[in-house]
Amino acid sequence: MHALLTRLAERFPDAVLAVREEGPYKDLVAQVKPAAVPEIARFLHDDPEAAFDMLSDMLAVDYPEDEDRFEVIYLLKSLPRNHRLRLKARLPEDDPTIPTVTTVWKGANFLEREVFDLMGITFAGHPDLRRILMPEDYDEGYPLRKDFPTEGRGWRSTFPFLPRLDEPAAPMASEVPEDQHRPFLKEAEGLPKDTKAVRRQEELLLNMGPQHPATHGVLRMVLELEGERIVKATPDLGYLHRGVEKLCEGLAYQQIIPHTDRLDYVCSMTNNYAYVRAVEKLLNLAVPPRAEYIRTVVAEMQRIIGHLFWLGTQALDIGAMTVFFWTFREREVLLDIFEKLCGARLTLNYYRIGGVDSDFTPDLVQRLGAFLDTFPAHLHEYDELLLTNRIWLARTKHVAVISAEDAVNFGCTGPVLRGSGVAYDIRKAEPYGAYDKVEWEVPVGKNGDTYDRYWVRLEEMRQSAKIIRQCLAQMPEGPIIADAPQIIPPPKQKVMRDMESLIHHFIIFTQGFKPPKGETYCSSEAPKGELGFFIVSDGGPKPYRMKIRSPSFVHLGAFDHMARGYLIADIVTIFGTYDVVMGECDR
Amino acid sequence: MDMLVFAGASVAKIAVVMVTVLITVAILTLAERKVLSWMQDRMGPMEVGPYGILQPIADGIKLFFKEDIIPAGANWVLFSLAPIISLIPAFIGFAVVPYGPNIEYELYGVTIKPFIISDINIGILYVLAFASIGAYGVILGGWASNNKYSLLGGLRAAAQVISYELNVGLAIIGVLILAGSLSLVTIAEKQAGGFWHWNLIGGLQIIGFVVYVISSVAETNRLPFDLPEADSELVAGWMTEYSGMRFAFFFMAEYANMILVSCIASVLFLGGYHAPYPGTLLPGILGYFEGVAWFTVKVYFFLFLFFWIRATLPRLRYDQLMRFGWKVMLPLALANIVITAIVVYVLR
Amino acid sequence: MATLSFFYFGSVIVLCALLVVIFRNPVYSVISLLVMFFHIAGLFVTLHAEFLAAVQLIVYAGAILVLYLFVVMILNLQQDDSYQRQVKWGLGLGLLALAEVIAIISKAALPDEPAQSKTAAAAAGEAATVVGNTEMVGKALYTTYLFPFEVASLILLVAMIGAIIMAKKGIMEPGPLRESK
Repeated sequence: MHALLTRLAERFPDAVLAVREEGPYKDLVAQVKPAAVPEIARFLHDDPEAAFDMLSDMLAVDYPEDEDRFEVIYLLKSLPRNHRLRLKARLPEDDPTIPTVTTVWKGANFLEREVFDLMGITFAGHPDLRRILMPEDYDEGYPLRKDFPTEGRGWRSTFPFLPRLDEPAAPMASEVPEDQHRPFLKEAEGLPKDTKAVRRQEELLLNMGPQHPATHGVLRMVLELEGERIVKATPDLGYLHRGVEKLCEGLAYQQIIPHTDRLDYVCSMTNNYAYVRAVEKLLNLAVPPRAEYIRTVVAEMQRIIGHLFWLGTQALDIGAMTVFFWTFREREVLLDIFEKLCGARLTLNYYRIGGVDSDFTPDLVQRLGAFLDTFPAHLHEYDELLLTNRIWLARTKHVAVISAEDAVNFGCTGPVLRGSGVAYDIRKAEPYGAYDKVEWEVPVGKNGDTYDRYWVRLEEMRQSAKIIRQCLAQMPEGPIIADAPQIIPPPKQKVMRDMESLIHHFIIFTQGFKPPKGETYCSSEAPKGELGFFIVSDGGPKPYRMKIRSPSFVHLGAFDHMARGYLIADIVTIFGTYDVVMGECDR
Repeated sequence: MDMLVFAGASVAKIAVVMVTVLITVAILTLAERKVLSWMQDRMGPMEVGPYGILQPIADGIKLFFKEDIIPAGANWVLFSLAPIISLIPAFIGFAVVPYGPNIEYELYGVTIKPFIISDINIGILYVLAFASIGAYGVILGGWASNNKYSLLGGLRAAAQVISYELNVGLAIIGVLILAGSLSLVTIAEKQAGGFWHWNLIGGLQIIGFVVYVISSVAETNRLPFDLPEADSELVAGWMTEYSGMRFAFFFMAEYANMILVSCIASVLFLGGYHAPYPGTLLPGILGYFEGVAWFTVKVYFFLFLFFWIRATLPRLRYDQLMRFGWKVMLPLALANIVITAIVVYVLR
Repeated sequence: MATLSFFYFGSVIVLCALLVVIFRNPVYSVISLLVMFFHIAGLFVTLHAEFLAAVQLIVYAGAILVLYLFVVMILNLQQDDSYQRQVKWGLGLGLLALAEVIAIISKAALPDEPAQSKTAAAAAGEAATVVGNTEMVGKALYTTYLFPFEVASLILLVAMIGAIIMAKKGIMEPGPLRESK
């Protein structure tokens, strides 16, 4: 038994119901009483041995047959100790209420709202418990509950909240009705009351989005402005919510892979990677070394594409249009390579459970090498336009500053966290693929401002190029997919000629494979941050519950904190600096 | 009779200038896209005509036939008026720009200057006066659209134009001290005889030149000072609700303003229609057109500069723009005036 | 010709001045004020005072009125009619001003006036063509009227400092908003 679990059980003998190490990877799990969650959370956060300073994700699972129907799961991560813990609490159906942990982790704000929205669990003491992904007036229930049908209740047209095109629109008094102002016009917490009395404030409520060129998809931002200064910024998410998690509950494991493409559609390979890794962890499946190298190379190519895309759009938002076209020039080369590799350019689908779909050809390796030869020079070109540009410095330095403590507390990961000076990279902390076999560094910023994050991402592109080059040099020969007949379908050529293989193929694709009962959380370092998949398996061919920890969603939880006090012109810089993709954020 | 001849000649000159300006606007829309695309490693418009040279015509036809939309809740009088208010001042300034040598012809007993519509003795003030009126189109358009982005764009435009107009005015005072006149013709004439007589080099108006160029970029709302229409923040600023010909009017006004400030810059600082060498290479009437050609070259140099800056620099933030205008540009312009005045006084 | 244009400009000025007060929408008021400034500039041109005309446009139309518009738009006074309830005061002051104007006009012998102004304008025009209108204004300001000129600039300076201090009062208070440089 892990020392931490014994310590926890000893410290809270009444509240901790059970502690155990689960699965082949010995995940630490603690089952606790719901009322004691804040207390235990505070202890886990403060205790130097535990030091769980980050709430990676939280979710709820619905077990309709059980006495305590809902299980709320907190996925905790300790950066200094580099360990994880799953904190679980069961709630009864008639009173699904649990105290909030927003007092311990500020990042819990958005996560708890999501659980409330999709599973209907009330968090007592939560400062702003509203629906987040579903519309605010959605009264059809809680979609992720098992008794909610996958296709929704009834036909779409019978939903009262949907606009009816055959009826005349209801007259609107103003753009935002008075009673809807309330949720957004809450007293700004930072502002003392009396300043309002001293200075006459002309506050302007500005709806930015959902259709706005700088919102990177469909995100609405309710900005409370004083002049051009932001008093409060409330992100309104969910315009791109497709219910991927609900959909996945009705799909076999290998059918889910294409759905992950559509999460972060800028870097679809990374999502594939994160998902297949989670399933492999659930299956305890080993991947052949060549496949690991290929996966690493492709993931890093995808990271370069993601960062190039980010750099281009961020620069365009700030007004430097040339950088945008230059980055797309480089992106084009990589997309051509992807097209050659798997036939698609945007929603790629190349990773398979247990390996990859096709092998690298020498032509591809040579093209990738040619790209790597010119890439540093192109990065230098961007640097020449931006790195020491006075206007760029003025627009990005000291903008959207977030301290290291706050960044960790909000659950920020990836370049957003590293820009604040925390050298946390899952590729280093929990190595996977071939990352521990090549030499590379984790770039870290100092001030936690937009400029540092820009620098971190640029440096990461250089490191990615370095990783790719080493991987190509080291890449061993061998199979590209694991040898596990229960899980992996036989090669297509055999299926066409061999009866046994055809049956085998048929069975896997109709029935799917059945992983052992259990649950697992597996996180990967996506270009945007920690992309994690939490899968609950009931031993069937479909996941019982799947939760996607999307970095964009967690980052937007810190938006108000980072945007307050800056000018409206900075909003686009702040948007850009997260590198949000709403497809991933809203899921 | 005299009156009639004078009026006829004036109308003819106005027609020529207007057509030239409109053609230049059309060329600029294409040139901007082409120059930017070459700088950005791409082709630019290639579909309409060989190398896309007919693109401006296609754009014009498209804008002309677009549906005319006035948003609900907009103040339609001002909404319709604003593009015109913004276009007229942009074109009216061309009346005092000398495009070629200051020569006079006798036509039926009336003296006519063929290369300038009207040589009035306060030429530069006239240009400044109407340039400042152009801001009304932007502000009123922004207000009348009944859109918050438009309103913010309009307000930004107002503050920006006022701040930078001041700098434009102060930046050229050095030149005015050197020339001792407000007439653009006189200013140009004083710079005759080779590039070392130009105000930029001979007059050492380097600070004035730099301040003027930067401020005029700001006054024409171009990157890096295009805050009133910053597309990533305010969608399209005061133009958000405009489409079709009304939008085209704003667009033409912006480009006409660019041409105008380029004309003024070349007259004030680069000798206007004077070649960089003394006299002209071509004899007689051809020599006049040599002057016109040099003027054109200088104007296009400035226009190219506009595009170049746009391709290179990110956008300033609003407060940075104001700080830059008042705390950097203004003191520089004032220092330039003081230095120039002292030097001119001592040398006289 | 000169009389004709004078009457045109004069009547438009009077009309626009009236419209400024009549319009209930302050933006329309500002626009009629703009038209009025233009016609005042036109009046200056007919008097051969081109410099003054240009300055009229630059300062009043181009800067001051833009600021008016700015304020009007920010405050959005459209439905605010608290400014319309000053009829008594307005009537009293207006009558006073009218009496003053009548007194001046009756003293200044109306029939002579056009001729006088014509000769004055002609003289000014002649002088302007010789030395230049701007130069004359400059000379007059820095020689004959040097003292009033300096006093005026001093008053403006004081007003400017006062305005800055009043505006800064709110800003200088320590607020929770972050300052980004």
